[in-house]
Amino acid sequence: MNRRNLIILALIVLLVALGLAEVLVKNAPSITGGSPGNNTLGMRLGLDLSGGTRLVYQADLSQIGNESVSEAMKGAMDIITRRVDAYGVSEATIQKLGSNEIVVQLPGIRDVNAAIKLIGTTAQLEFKEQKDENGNLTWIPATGILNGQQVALTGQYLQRNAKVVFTPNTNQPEVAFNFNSEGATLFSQITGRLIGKPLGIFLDNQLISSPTVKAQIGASGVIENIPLDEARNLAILLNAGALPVPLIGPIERTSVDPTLGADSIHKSLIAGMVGLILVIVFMMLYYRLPGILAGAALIIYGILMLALFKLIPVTLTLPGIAGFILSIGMAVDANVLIFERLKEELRAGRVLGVAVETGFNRAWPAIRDSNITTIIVCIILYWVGSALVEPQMQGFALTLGIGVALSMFSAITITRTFIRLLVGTNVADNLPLFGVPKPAQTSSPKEQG
Amino acid sequence: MLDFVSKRKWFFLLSGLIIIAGIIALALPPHLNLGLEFSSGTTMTLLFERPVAQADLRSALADLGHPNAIIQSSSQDTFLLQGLALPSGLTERDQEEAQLADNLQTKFTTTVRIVEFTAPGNTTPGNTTSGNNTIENTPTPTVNTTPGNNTLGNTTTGNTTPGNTTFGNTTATGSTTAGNNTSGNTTLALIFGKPVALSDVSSELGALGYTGITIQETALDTYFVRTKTVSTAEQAQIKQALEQKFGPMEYLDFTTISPEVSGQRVKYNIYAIIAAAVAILLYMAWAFRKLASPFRYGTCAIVALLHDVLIMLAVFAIFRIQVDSMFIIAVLTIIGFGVNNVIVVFDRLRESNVVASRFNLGTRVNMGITETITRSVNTSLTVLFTLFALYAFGGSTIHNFMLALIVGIIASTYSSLFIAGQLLVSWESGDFGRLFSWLPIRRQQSKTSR
Repeated sequence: MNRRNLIILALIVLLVALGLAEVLVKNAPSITGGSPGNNTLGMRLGLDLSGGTRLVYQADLSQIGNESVSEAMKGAMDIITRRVDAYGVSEATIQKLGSNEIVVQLPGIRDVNAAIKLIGTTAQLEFKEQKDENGNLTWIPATGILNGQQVALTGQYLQRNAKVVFTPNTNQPEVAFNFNSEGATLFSQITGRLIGKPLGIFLDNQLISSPTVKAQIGASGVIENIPLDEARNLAILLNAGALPVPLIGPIERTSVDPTLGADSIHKSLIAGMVGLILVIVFMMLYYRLPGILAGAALIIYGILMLALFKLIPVTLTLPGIAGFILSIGMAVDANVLIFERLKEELRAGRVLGVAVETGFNRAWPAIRDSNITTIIVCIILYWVGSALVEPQMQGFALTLGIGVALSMFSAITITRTFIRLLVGTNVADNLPLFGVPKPAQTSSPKEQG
Repeated sequence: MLDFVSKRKWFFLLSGLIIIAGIIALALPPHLNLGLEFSSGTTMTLLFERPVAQADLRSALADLGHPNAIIQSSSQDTFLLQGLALPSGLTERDQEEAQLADNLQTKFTTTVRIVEFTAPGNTTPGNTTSGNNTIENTPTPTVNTTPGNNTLGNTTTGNTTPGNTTFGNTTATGSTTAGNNTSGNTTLALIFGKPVALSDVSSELGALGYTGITIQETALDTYFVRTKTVSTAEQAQIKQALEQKFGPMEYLDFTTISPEVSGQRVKYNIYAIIAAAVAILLYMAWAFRKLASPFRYGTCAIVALLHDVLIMLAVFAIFRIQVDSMFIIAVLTIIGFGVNNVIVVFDRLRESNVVASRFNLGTRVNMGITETITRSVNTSLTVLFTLFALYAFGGSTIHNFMLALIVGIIASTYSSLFIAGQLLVSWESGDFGRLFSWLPIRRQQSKTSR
């Protein structure tokens, strides 16, 4: 018995050491291989802690048949991903919400309006020529013959390598682009026809440039006369491609200032520490020796939780931290239930060894049932959180769920092992250490108030 | 032994009164203070470079189609920087501002926000305010700039005279887009999270290599506006229109949620609560399957949980505290926590059903509550400790969340001790039948307790 307990103790020590290493080493491994967060502990932080913007767009599916909806949504998300990546937002997430909405989460971004412009633009690039209708010049799509068919030249014939360049003489920004071979064929036909005439370049039906064609060109061209920032965005848009469906919105837009997020982490950490200390002090005062052991078990519990957060990894949000701290309180509950039973058994005059085992066994059904129902609630919360793409709700459900599961382990294994190790020592006979009066005063548990 | 059971009517009455008060508060306008995520709409915080009267802003917003906007006025202590050389490209400028904010944040160990006023035809407003102290940063990047003036840090604010702020130049010059502006005439507002001395800001900026700039400490008018949903395009229009009237303005914060999104959220949250209740009912019926009428235990637990949620809602309705998505998380947490409390009491019934079956249900419920009251109070106290710590130190963003949890934990401790078990006894002894005996429907007389 004693030897078995020592082995369990050794395993607990090993587990705590591994947990500490996982928490303290910044680039410690995670199961899913995600990159560690950009902070001292390497935790992944949600938008409310890292700061950033959440945007929800609705896809306008009116032009699309039912069967191709999911394909169009996937295409739109891919293109938004490319745009956001090219814009340089690290750790952005793009997720589908419901059937026709897209949630874009941009951590750490400052200029939200620029991002909105970049994401929401359909970016359909068209080349047009002017047609004289009774003296009125109107733009009509510039077409060429490709494989015997007359087709309009659009952005779909571009290679994905548009970039911002500066003209050598004036140092003005412009966007240089290249056509693929089909586009080059079309462009060559069109420019050959339009020498001395303007060629209109339209983005989403807006004229962005109308240079006069000087010579027949084939594979490449430039869009000039645009400010640097717009040139950059245009290059990103051309390279990412046009959205298969127009986006409406953002229909939801929420931002958290990055500095506010940092402040929240700091405050929550202090709150967590204070909460943990209060709980441990209370447990020590009320339950004496077992309370101290439970306090030690709680600290181990805290270390293991943080290690799990990094190992899985869990994206920490403010409600997630609250869920974690709440789970500390709930971890105490299992200990309280056990100690109350333990006291009852000791009062009934049983020796510690027997009292520990009966106490644990009698407390177990209540611990099991209450924790399982809490975990059920957490699973439902997690499900709703993922359906709504709300990382805050998901984070809360995940940390509380993991916390409750781990607290069962902490109470049943760690606390029990600690107390079992006391069995057979002098301490075991010192009942006041367990918050129980001298054996002489014991009576049946029924009469205890 | 304390008697928890025979006085149950009074316990039910106490809870009933709180819930009825809540229902009355819900029935009276403005009903429930719903957060944006459930009610849809837009909240924005507007920062003005020049003084703006609330009445003027209200009429301006009414003209823009927002006559029912809720407007709250406050002021924001800021340092206005002028003459700062910043890159002309938006991306570079953004990076440089982010860098500056980071540097200041590290130095002053508080939050720092940088707001750039980018109004078209931005006139230099340096002389429009009086009574605030201004420091000219010397061109050399030395740390100790202008040592003499620095003691004036705390001048009274709000004595700016609106009459001075003429802005005749802001007529249709909208063509100069912000991106193309040559640097130099940008006004940056620095907002610190705690009071900071002007001299310290000045010397720190000098140390960071920003020279030849004017720093001015002032309190800028800030307005929190809540109104119906504003689109991105409309957001730009509002900015333009307000700047025409009031001079440079920036959004400190802009949040918008459309009715579709909020409707979906409400729907899913209701699903979540129903699903949680059904799951708990089924699990408890299974866990208490060896007892007579196991579904009663689950049902009484659900009623006790409903009681907890109604008390939470009542408190939030009576005190007009905002109900947002965090409140729903709190409700679901309390459902999880409350079911713990109820199960611990019912677990004793499960046990005494075997070892003390000679006693009737009322006595066994009373025994169960007496045996577990220490545990229930202790557990609730430890959880309340952590919650109060979070409430006190966790920052204002989670205040309402913590409050909901604190109310919920108190309610659920009460209901586990005074409601759940008592409901079982009432059910068994046919209280509900007697309560509705005046109804014309013939009710099957329930068995009274042995």
